[in-house]
Amino acid sequence: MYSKVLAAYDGSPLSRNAVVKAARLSKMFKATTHALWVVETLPHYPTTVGEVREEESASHSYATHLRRHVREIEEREGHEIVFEVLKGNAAHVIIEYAQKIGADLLVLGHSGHSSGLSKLWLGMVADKIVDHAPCDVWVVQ
Amino acid sequence: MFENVWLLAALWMGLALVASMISIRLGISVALVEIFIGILAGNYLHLQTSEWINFLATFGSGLLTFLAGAEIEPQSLRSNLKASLSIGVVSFLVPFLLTGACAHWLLHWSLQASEIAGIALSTTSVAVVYSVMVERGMGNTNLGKLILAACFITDFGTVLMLGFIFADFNSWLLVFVAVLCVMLWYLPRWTRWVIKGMGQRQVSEPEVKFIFFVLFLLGGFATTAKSEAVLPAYLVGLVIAGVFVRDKTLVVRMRSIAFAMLTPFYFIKAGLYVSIPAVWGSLGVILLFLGVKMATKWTGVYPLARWFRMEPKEAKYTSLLMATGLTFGTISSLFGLQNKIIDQGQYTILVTVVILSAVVPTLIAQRFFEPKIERDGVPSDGATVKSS
Repeated sequence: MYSKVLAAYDGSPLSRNAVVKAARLSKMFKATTHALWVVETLPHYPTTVGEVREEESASHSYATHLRRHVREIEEREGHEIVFEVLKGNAAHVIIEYAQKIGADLLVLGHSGHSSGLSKLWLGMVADKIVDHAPCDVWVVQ
Repeated sequence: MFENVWLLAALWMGLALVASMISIRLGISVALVEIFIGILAGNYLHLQTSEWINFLATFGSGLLTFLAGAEIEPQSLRSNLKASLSIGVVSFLVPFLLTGACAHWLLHWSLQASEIAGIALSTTSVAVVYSVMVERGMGNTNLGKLILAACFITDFGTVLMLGFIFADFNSWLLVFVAVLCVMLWYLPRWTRWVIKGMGQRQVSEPEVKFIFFVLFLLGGFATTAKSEAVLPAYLVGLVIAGVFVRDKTLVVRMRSIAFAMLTPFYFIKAGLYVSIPAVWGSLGVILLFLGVKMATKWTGVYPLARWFRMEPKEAKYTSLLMATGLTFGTISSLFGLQNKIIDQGQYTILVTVVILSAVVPTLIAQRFFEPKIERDGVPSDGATVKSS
């Protein structure tokens, strides 16, 4: 039924759950699994260049940390996961990436580590993706 | 209660802490949030400053200016000197002259108040431009380095104008210039000597104290000559930027001191004097100034960007990014208010325009003129990081 499954992953417990479920479902359908983290943590309207550089450096460290998590899930579920890191607006990038790889299922947590404004409106990123996704979407609670 | 210095300090630091927490939750720079907190505190709590708060705020703005100068990579300035110098000078001069003219001839501001308006609205926020470059994967491209170098030149023009336009041309100014020239010549050597000879793992932090000593000394000479302390601070940062390229931990420590203890006082103070009723009452003027700032930056930068062979979309993108501003705009406006060159109404207008200029041009640039950059960067962990 599904041949390419994409899970959005930002390290939050819900998104980790999404990756695990994506891996299990892919295993059932013999599909390929992709996990994607979108970096959008650069401070908006910063005061110094140093603020941005420190945040960028922190993003690189966090990407390594997430890659390790994904490898752990790979080993536990016995299923390969392709991990990618992209920069930009989370909803746009996830949708564009899903189109690019030809994903036929998107799996996401209801709300992740997204910024305070997103959390305030409970799962704004997930809502946007559901509205504009090019394929089926599974929102994991 | 507010006569108790400890309680007053607790109040200010409490406001700074709230600003930090909001900034982290919303992903917005803490400086912007501190200004908004200051606006609320000034208008609803009627919070006021005191001598020691004014000193911390002034030192905070000086240290911020120093860090801004120290963040340049000298190599990127040298490698694109002609283009970045041309774009940077025009990016400062055209808005300074035309915005000042608008304030003087259209709004009938005094000549000196118009000069403050011109200076405050000619700035470019290097940090905002840099963060946009990094998000788009352009931080290490030749175009990105050229734009950043041009931004530094623009801010140099702002700082230079602020430092000299209101100075008294007397013997004290000559003394200040002479001392400044001597110190700037020897500073890289002295700083390297302090770091190698006395720094590195010393708890007493002699390198930090050395830089503070230099900033205080030059600030003292500058203010005695009726100039502005940010001028020597920026120049000191510029001349020792090369030293900091090799010793990044010193910059990080100084930034920690600045953001934890000094700049909150500056930005909250900057917000205190913004009158909310005046914002509503002057909305038309605010929008006029914002439009003039963006239009003059565009007029100045776009033709030159095309002259230096940027693609049309890249040139438009560059022009809009260079219309951003925050730190130097507020510093210039506060200088004008403190020296009674502008009144609170004019200050409110300028700071509001400066804040809007941090946001509006960036949004327009990213929405309509974003150039497509496809780059792969491979960080040391091996994860592939692409910009989309």
